[in-house]
Amino acid sequence: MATRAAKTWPHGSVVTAALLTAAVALSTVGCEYDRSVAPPPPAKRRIAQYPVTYVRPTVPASLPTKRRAFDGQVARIACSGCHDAAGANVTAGEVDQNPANTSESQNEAGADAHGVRLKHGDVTCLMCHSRTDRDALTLADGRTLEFAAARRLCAQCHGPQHRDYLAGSHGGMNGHWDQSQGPRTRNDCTACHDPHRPAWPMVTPLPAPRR
Amino acid sequence: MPGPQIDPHRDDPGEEIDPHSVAARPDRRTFFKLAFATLGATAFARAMAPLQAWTETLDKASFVQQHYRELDKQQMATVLTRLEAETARDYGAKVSISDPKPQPGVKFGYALNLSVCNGCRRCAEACHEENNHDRASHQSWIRVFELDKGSIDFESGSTTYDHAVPQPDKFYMPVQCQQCDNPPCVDVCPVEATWKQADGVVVVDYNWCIGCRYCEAACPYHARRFNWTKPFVPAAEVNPNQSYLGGRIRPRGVVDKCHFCTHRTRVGRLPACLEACPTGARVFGNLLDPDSEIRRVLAAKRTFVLKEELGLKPSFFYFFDE
Repeated sequence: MATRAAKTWPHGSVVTAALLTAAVALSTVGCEYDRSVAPPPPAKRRIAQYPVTYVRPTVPASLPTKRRAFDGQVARIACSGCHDAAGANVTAGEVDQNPANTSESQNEAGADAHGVRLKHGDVTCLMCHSRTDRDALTLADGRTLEFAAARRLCAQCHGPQHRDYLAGSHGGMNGHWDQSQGPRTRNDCTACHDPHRPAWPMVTPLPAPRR
Repeated sequence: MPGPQIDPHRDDPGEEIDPHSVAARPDRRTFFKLAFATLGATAFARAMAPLQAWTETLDKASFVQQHYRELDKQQMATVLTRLEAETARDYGAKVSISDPKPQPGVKFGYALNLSVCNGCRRCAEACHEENNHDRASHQSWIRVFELDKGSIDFESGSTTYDHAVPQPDKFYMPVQCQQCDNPPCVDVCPVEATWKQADGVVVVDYNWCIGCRYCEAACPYHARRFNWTKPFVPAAEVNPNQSYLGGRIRPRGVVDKCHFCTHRTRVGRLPACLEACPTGARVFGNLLDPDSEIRRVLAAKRTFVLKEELGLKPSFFYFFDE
């Protein structure tokens, strides 16, 4: 007579079923501190609702003179105040000039005459300033450009920086990363770079942590 | 004839004195026992003194406060009110502690342009002021490394430089919490006082932290710091815009770290370090938004992460312009 299987067999299956049920129950209910972070759903494309303000020059360039206005401020004179289209009527001494007038080139002489310290590669004055309208800038093809749109002029030569600026990774910003929640302010080129000496100056860093 | 023997240990012949008592035997051994017992008692009292100071400011509500993740809205409001009152009492400043939640569909990413950073430390200073760090030690959650061009060798770099920057043969790399996707600090915390939230920020519940500093040891970027003392911040310099898991003034004995300015970024604003950067080296945004600036940087620039071989998947990226 075949021996029956060990008497523990039905007992074992009950235990196994109970363990499996417990395992399934725990895996569905989960433990109290669920450390896994579910992947977030893809973001809806947010529509920018708030404006971006650009800090750009709003008035034509001007130079400080040696005179003072009625309110005590240093009087500034626009370029066309001395120059006409032909470049004549230059009144020497009207603006503060560089004292050490040891310029070797006409470029530097022009810069020194206006108190401008020029260090911009091989760029000369008339590459950017319009010859015909002294209160405007000029593009490479001769078209004039107002000062507020100076970024186009910079972008002519500095394309990679302009591309990064438009992409948001050059020039910084203030305000909100999420333009649907608040406005943002961007800097124009000349807000950070002096157009005559655009290289970033050396600075003294703020103090390090003390420990 | 000899008189009665007078016992020198007796004051009065008629008085009985226990020969084993101290008064009966004022000898050297007794003196030393008394002296060192007094010294020991004094030392014990001095050692227990901080406990007395602690119990003066300890209240039942803070002792029985539950973990952040177990508090419902009403309990959280009570906790925030209590913390604001404690800050007013301890620092003399009226503050507003909020609890901004992660926004759905947002995962933060941060990128830093190593071609542009000039090591001026304005970001570290902005973090110091925005997040109410201890003034005495001038702490910040950002450390700026000055490294030799050509490789990233932190051991030969310096965080304490004080000469004019940028030096021509060096580059500058600010390091802060990288908000890893696989954070070792979260794994080692014995009490789960730190965890990663849905928008990617690894946060710390300062009231639950026990100050064991395991997370500080586990972080390979040394991004976490410990509050050895109660932070000192003058009332006029306290930033009143605080958050429970972020920039509120930490108690003594807990670990803190950069939290991507959650009190700002979770309402759509830029973090303080980015706004302070004068060179525009920092880029921040939502990694899940394909039109964001951070996504454009990751797609177009030569980007890398620190200590990639550890497999921690940081959310902080470094890139070069060319």
